Amino acid sequence: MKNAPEQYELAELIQKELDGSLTDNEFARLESFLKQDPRSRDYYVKTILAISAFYDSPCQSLDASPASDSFSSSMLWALLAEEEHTAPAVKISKPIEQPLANSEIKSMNTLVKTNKTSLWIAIASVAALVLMIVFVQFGSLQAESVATVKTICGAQFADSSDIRTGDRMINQKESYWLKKGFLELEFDYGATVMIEGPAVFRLESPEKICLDTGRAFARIPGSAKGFTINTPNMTIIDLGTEFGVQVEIDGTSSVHMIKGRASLIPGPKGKTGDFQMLTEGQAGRVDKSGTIHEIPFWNDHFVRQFDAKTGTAWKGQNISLADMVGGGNGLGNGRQDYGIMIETATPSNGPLFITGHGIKHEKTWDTFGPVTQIPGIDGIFTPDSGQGPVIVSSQGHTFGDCPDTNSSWSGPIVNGARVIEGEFELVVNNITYGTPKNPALFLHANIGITYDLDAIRQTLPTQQALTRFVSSVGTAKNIRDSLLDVWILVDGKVRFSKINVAQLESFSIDIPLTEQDRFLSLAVTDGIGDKPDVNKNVFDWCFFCQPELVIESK
Amino acid sequence: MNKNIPKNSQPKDVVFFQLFMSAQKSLYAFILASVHNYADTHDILQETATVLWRKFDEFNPETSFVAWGISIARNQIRNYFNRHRSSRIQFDNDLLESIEKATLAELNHSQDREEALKSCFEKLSESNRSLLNLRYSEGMTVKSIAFRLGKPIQGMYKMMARVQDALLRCVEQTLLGKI
Repeated sequence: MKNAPEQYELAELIQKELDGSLTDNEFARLESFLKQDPRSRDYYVKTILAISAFYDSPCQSLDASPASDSFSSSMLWALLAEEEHTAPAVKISKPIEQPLANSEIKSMNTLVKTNKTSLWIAIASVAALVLMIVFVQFGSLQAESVATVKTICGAQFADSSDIRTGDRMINQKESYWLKKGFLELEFDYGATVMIEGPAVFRLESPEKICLDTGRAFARIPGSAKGFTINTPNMTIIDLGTEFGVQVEIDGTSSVHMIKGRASLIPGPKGKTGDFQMLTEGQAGRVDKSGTIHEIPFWNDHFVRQFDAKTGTAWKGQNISLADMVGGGNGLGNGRQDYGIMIETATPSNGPLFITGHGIKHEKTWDTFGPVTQIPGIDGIFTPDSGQGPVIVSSQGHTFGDCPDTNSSWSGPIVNGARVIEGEFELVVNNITYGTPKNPALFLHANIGITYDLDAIRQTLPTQQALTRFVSSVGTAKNIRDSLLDVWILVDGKVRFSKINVAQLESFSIDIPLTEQDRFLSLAVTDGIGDKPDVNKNVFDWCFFCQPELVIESK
Repeated sequence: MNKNIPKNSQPKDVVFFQLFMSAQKSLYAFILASVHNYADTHDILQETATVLWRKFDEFNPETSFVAWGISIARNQIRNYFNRHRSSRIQFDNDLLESIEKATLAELNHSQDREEALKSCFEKLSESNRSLLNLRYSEGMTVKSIAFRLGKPIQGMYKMMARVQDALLRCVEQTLLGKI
């Protein structure tokens, strides 16, 4: 570097290098400068050191205590939590001890990240406080947009903002007040946050949201680790997870870890005390004093996705097959004790009893009765191989292993367990079923029902799949001679069977499902036992207790 | 650069925190000088912090934490370059060593340099201070600044280079006692 023009050229190359925008030729030129001229190396190093001085807060020179630099302090807290050398499990009612002297968390932005702009966002929060530069010459600078509206439904803002899908949201100083409805934001950092009104919140940066009151669900991919949610009395730094957070009017905040883990740092914004690590299935509440309490975990309390077309909010719950028989979509909007009439293969117009129907075999449909009014249910069938091939789906799948029954059936398929006379309570494994909270699906021999898994998949939230069918099964009636067979079919093939199930017997079913599986059938046939000539249809009650299709992320 | 840390009875994580906070600027400068872009520097600083914490039991408190940290950072930089050999433009090893030596030498005067920097920063014009703040405090790339201000990108690189150069010359002259 011999003269001023070369010095300026070197300075320019350094600027481009920092942005990663050097061409190959420019890099070669820079390398040549540095290799051949010690003064250029010296200039390069001094420039880097001058730039590095902006990285840390000069306040630290005045205040020798740690954590005056918000970026580093919160990074280190999260680092220490991640390493779990000192982070205990969620403590119960541990009082906050005296916080570290002058420890503060001002703004977040830490941890492993791959976003190339996030480093500077972090530095901004520190240096801006120190330098306090007022921009005058370069014209007015607008607030920066930090997120995109991904979904909005029924949303009403206090200031009557007309916000639509695809709009950009800015990091304004004033809070957004969502009076009602749902707003899903995708932050530029990669995190997605579903906010459920009523809620008051502020968007601070592409990496941070402040929730003052209300409820939100955050989904943070691994590439967006470090995304932070602040509430009035805690900071949650994500480590690659899904979690729900709720803030009450009095500032009490709770966090429920659905998946992954996060650092929970109690204390109002700007202060920090001891931190905790929350992992999947854990929940913590921070009260106004900053004390962390362990609380019961809620898996299905927070809206994770909202389907604006159907108006369905998915809170992480599985698809209830009993709910669908009650005319619902599997997420709880079916009607208790409603069902499907066998005679017509149609939904009932009112509540049904499981008793009082006698043994019948009249039906208006042939081997397979399509159910057209409930999208997720393909149809019903009478399992009896003595009548020919048993067709179990609208696509013609057959139940090849079906026993030879008498085709007689008794009673409708019901989302419930009500009897017409006397008292009856369906209790299986000490749990009472046949209620909205613990639904039961009733099938009496000889009948089967087929669900259309493809139709159900179309209603699932994005990136979610049906992975298993699970259910408890109980007969729950102490009746002599009651004997039945239980069959679970996928595309006509038996995936599970249990023969000659006696009264009061119960068991569990857990069948994995793949994307290729199309139809799931549940069937109950008359058990034969050791008396093949005896009609054993009587009281062949079969209850599928909480029959569900499990939803998991793809 | 040598900072002998007195013994104390504080918890281990607090001690580590204090040491790291004091050293991080030097570590950052060392890494940035070798890696020469912000995003990668931050990643390596993260990795360095992780290793330092994991190995903190091995640290001798009678020695310099900064020196120890830089030795760890050096390994992390090497590992980083090995992982990204095909996707990152890198200085060759000889140049890297020269830069590291020069950086270590300058870090010995970091306090004087920082004071000079503060003083020189105040002497810049308001517009130049604003530009540096946009660049280093707000974290904007030169391209983003140019876009915001409606200026040509190449022209903005030249402007930024001259402002940075002016700041640096002031710092050098201050250190030499000429101002």
